[in-house]
Amino acid sequence: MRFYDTYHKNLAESSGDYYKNNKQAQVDYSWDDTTQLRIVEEQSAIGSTIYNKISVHADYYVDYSSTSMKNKDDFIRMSFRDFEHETDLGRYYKYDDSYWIVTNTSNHTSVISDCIVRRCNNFLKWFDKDTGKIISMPCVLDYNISATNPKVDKDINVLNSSLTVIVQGNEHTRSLPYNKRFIFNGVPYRFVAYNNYMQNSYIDDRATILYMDVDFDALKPVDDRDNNIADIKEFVYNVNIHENPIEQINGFKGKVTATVTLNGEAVAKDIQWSAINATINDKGEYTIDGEIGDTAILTATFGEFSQSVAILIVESLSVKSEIVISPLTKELNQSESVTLTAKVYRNGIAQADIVRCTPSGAQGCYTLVDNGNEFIITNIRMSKEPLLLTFNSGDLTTSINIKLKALF
Amino acid sequence: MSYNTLKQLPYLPYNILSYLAQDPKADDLWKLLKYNTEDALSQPNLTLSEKLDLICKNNADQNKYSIFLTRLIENDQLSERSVLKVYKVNTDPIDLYKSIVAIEFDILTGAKTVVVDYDGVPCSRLDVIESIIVNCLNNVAIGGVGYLQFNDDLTNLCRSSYGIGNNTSYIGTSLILAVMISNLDDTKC
Repeated sequence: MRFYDTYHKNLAESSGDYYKNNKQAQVDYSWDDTTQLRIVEEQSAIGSTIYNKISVHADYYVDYSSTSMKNKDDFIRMSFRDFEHETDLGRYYKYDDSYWIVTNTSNHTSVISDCIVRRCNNFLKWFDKDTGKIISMPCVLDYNISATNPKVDKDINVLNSSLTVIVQGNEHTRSLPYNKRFIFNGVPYRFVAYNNYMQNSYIDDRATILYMDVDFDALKPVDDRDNNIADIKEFVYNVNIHENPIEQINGFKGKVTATVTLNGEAVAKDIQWSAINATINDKGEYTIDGEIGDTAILTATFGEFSQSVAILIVESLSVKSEIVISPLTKELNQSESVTLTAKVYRNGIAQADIVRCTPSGAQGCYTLVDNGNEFIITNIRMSKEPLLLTFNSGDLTTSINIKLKALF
Repeated sequence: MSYNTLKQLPYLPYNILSYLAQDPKADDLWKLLKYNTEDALSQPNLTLSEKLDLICKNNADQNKYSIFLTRLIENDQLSERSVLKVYKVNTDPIDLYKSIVAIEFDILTGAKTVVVDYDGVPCSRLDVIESIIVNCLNNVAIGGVGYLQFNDDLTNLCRSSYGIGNNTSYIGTSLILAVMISNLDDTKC
């Protein structure tokens, strides 16, 4: 029996495998011979922006006779051809101009590989103030609205309601702070709770699908209702390129610098540089490589914010000079200081010319220290009148206004 | 003298906080608001910038701030910490020309952050903050006609009352000081 035992142990299929392999062969054979065949795009991994096409069989999941509340087309049972194919709770699919999110899987209990997906009917959008980017995540707003009684008080009433939001649990959504606000079709809500404790396993401790409770919240002046982004106007970012070269010749090498300001104050942020009809590196060093008559465009970008300068490519140059001030500070709080650097640029190249600064306005509310083309301005008292700084070098002149604000 | 227009009224809470931010005697106040542990007073002094970073204006994420210029904090609290609210609570016109303005300081802390080591003695954080505020601000010029005072003779609203909070996880003291305001820039008889 030795041969038989060896064969049985090492080569023969188990009953389960035999059944499964036969079933797989049957599915392979008839896979295309059905009205349920669909081509969908599957997210390659939780949190990924890459989607891959895959064919599935789509079947209904919710019987509309069970409840008239649920739309049958919002739920699909998706079966995969390969029985070994696995998917995750919370993984996104794209199909029929919608995103779909996996709400149920059957990796352990079914021979075939399938899952239940639900159509995402909205987007969770918010502004990330650290990266300057708007993050948009497909989500499901559940059918039920609860707690419709207004928040009643003797002084004022405010509307009240609660929703459940179903969204993928990834690095962006799992780090959302409580009280974060979102706007859905012009109506704001505040995040009050979620189930980030529902781990996939004791090895994979991520919660890849989140059920978030959000409460109705009043609209605020810092909300962008048109684009459904709450609180975005609290963070006003601007990107300012200091230099302003107007024209140059092909082959010219120069450098541009930029400052990112948040609510008028310079902040340290990484700037991405890009160029058309020129090449530029991450330090802002560029080379014009377009044809005469073209326009080279240099763009500094931080998150959703950018600024560009356009340089006309000419055969020969006329001399263009300007005074460039950096950083372009517009406001200074009481007791704060800023060091302004003033340089003369000739056709985009910094010169060693001396620049003088003459202040006017805001008498007695500031101090100014001249360190030779570097000027340290300190706000010692707030002023209703702005501080006007006029910079001169030879025939060149430029000026900036700085608002001297309160302590906070 | 022109009739009272309450011109100085809006500036009072700002003047108070500016004064506290720049008075070295109030350094412990800021430490008690920033550090919620028992050894808060052993921590380093805050810089002016760190102090001002504790003051909330119309910011969305109110949980990052400890000082508010209003009685109402909209966001649900996520942790036990210390909070100070400074706001005008009452304006009492004495006559056509002068009013007494009462400023309320709501001092709140978590039920399990209330004890602090004060010169080696375990004390209530609420009491220590109250004593610092009165020590720094009693009889100090903050923009009114007279001085900010903790004085029943100025108004009987001046007092400290224990018992604000939410009866579950936060407890606090309400402290009221007052100042007289009037218009002094009109020199006509």
